[in-house]
Amino acid sequence: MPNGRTHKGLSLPAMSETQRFLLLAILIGIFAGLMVVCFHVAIDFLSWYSVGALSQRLRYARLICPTAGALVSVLLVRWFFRAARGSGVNQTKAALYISDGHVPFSTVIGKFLTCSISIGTGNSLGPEDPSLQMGAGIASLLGRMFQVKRENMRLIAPVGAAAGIAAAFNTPITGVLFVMEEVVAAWNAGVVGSIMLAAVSAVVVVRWFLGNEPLFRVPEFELRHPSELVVYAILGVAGGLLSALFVKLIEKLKRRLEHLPSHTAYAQAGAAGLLVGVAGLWLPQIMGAGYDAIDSALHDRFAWQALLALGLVKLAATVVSFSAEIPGGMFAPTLFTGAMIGGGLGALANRYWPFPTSFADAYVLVGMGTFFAGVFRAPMTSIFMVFEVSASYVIILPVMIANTISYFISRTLHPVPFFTMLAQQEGVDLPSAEEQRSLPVLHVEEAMRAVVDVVLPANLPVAEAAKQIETAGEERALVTFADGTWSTVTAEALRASLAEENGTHALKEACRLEVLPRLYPDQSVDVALRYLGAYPLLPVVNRAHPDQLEGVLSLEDIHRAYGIRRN
Amino acid sequence: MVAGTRRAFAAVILSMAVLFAFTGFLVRAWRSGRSQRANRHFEMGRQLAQQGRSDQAVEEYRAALSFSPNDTRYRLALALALMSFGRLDEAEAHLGELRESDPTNAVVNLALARISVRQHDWDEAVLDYHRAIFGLWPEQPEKNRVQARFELVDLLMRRQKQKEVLAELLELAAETPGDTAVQRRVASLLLANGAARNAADLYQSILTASPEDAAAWSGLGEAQFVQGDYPAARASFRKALRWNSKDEQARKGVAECDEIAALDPTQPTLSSGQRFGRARELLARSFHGLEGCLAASGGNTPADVSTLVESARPVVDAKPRRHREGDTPKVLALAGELWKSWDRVCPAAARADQAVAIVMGKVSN
Repeated sequence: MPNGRTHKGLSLPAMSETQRFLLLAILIGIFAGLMVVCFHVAIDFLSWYSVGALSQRLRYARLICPTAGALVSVLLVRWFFRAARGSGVNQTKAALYISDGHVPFSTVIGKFLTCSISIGTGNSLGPEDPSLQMGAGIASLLGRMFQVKRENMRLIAPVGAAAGIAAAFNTPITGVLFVMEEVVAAWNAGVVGSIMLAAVSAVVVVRWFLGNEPLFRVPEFELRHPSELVVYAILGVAGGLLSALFVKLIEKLKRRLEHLPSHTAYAQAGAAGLLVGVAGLWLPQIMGAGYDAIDSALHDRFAWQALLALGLVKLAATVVSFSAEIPGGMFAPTLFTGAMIGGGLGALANRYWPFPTSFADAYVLVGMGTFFAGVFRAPMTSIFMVFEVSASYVIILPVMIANTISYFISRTLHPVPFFTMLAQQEGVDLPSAEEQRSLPVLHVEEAMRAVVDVVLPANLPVAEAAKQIETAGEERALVTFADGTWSTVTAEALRASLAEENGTHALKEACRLEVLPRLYPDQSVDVALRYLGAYPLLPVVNRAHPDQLEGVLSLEDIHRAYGIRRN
Repeated sequence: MVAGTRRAFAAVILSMAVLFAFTGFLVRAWRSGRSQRANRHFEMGRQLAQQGRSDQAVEEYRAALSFSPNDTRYRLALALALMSFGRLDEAEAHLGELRESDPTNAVVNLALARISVRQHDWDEAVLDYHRAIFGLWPEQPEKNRVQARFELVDLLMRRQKQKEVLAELLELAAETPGDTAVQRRVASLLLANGAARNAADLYQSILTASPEDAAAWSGLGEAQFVQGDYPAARASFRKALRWNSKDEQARKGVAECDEIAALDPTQPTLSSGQRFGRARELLARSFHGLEGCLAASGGNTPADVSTLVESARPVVDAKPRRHREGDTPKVLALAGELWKSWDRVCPAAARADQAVAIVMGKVSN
């Protein structure tokens, strides 16, 4: 087996590895889509028969249901599905970077059961992150069955994750972008193709069963006055500040709760469920994923006071639920909080801004993306998510402004990305795609020697060449040909040639000159290193004029650039 | 493929098929549950709406819609409840969605027209009313179309778009040939909007079908009265009274016709003495009317009017005597001047004496 685990796998000998991987992506998408549909339905059934049914008979059903749901789900996680603990995004990353794509199938079952219970009973969490992890789990199982190669097996969990999240949001682009932005830092056309195929297949399955209904019914959007962009910028600032606060609160509360004895885990979950219930007595909209409330906000149903109250209470409820390790995801609560805060600010702008502004619903939509960008540090996903949900091109500009501001503020105030922070708290060092993207890459131009002492034309007589190289005191010199190709010649080779004949022959005739690979200044040093084993000195040339030498690069130059001293 | 691999691959496909079937079953149950819940909320909403508790009805309709977002009945009910609750923007959004899915839905278009009226978006309202009139009604299409057109007429009248009003009314009359009540209402509106001839024609057509229709006779009388055909109007009012002796409008019409007939000096059958007597009567009524008006105005009398009154007084106060050739036109000319001054200084009072106003108008022509 590629990953060292033993499985009696399937093999399809008639297909190439790439074809097999693409077929697998489709299968993964279909299975993930089916799983997400069942998950969605299960949450609804549980919600109907718990909070929905009991609320009509018991006055305090809203207190009992989330408390009981939190207790049962945490009990299931601790006793039966330990692998289902924690963030789905990080579990998928762990599969990618640690376990060669292995996600135990028990995780899928565990996430399904525990999250259905916790979210269905009204705890303030969402179904997208578990969907993502279930997708990764299904992908991993199918990958093992089809005996996918090790390097592909590593990528299979992100493919499933994309399918899962695309199915949960009913938005294929968002699913693809999120995984590429947050989970897989380095990707190529093959990976993108598989991720897309899986996401599209999953969304097709979801729409087959649940219909073509979008997640939200979004009203038409219009920018009513250019000055409104300032309001959107203010929304970006608010989103950035709040998202940083949100992440910090989770970080601190989670750390505190983790330091408590492990037997208090049930008490923590119960207390968190109870707090959500208490808040739910006053504001029932904050319970569960809260999509209906977002939809209502998008249709201007709440006054600004209610919007702000809902946003802030949801934020607190989510911090409590998530920190107490009640199973469930953060995407829906993030969207909810952003939507309500955005709507609240929009409604205020509608009243007090001196120029015409859009209705609050436009700000609800932009607010969703703003908070998402700030918390998850996935600005591209947040922009395209709003675009995909609203199907409005006009909204792009305000969303870009607000999300970018939110992203940078959140990044400044809380430099560690959310998922990295969670991973660190769990004692795992998982790379953040954001950090990986921003890692500085050493380029050839930073390592090369710009000054070259000797460059010998290929038609130079050997005696003259020997004289020049001797004068420069070099052991090796570059040789240039008229067609822009390059070679090297050593002082020793020239001396040997002189010993054999009188030195009047041209270099290209007298010496054996091997054509060298060319380097360009913008290439990474990694590219150069692949050649330097075979060629000790390489020419760095201009891309447009290959005969124009920009510098030379040797292993010593790279060592110097990295600050490595050699004895 | 080796046989074992094929079997395993088939197992994957089979498990997918089983999961498909299971998901299908689950989703069916879920849909059914949603549908039941939606219906329950909808019925509850209807009951609350009937009790006039629109705010609570709105919540129930919302809940129904959250379970069944594609059900147009729920959305329409919610939109109408929101309208009655004064939340026009939200109602408009729902109605807009409904119209997008079915642009011919007359109920939706009518509701949108009403919202446009409340938002003072007159042009849009007219368009929406037309969409409603020419749209498809789920029940009682004729009745609803007529009602929608009357609403439109009402709007156009308030906007003083007389030409459009007449166009709508004539169309309405043409579309409802057998509906006497509607025809009567249309004729009355035609009359009110200055189309007395069209109104009279319409009343005539009603009376051809229902000769005992007292209201139509009364309406015809008014139309004829407005056209200046007082004898015909009197006859129509009389017929109205014959079929409905309690018709005060007709009775008043008869009295007015009689008064005009008694006052009109231009009737060809009159002797010169009768003509002179009527001229003097017109003079006296115009003079006293103007005098009363001046007394009420408290001294702010234009100088020319005072002079006219003073110059007319001896003629008015003079005892009746045998008239001479040429007296009648002089008296009528003086009466005409007095009435014009009266109409200038106190137009309301002058027009209130309808018989004098009508006869003076006739004389001056």
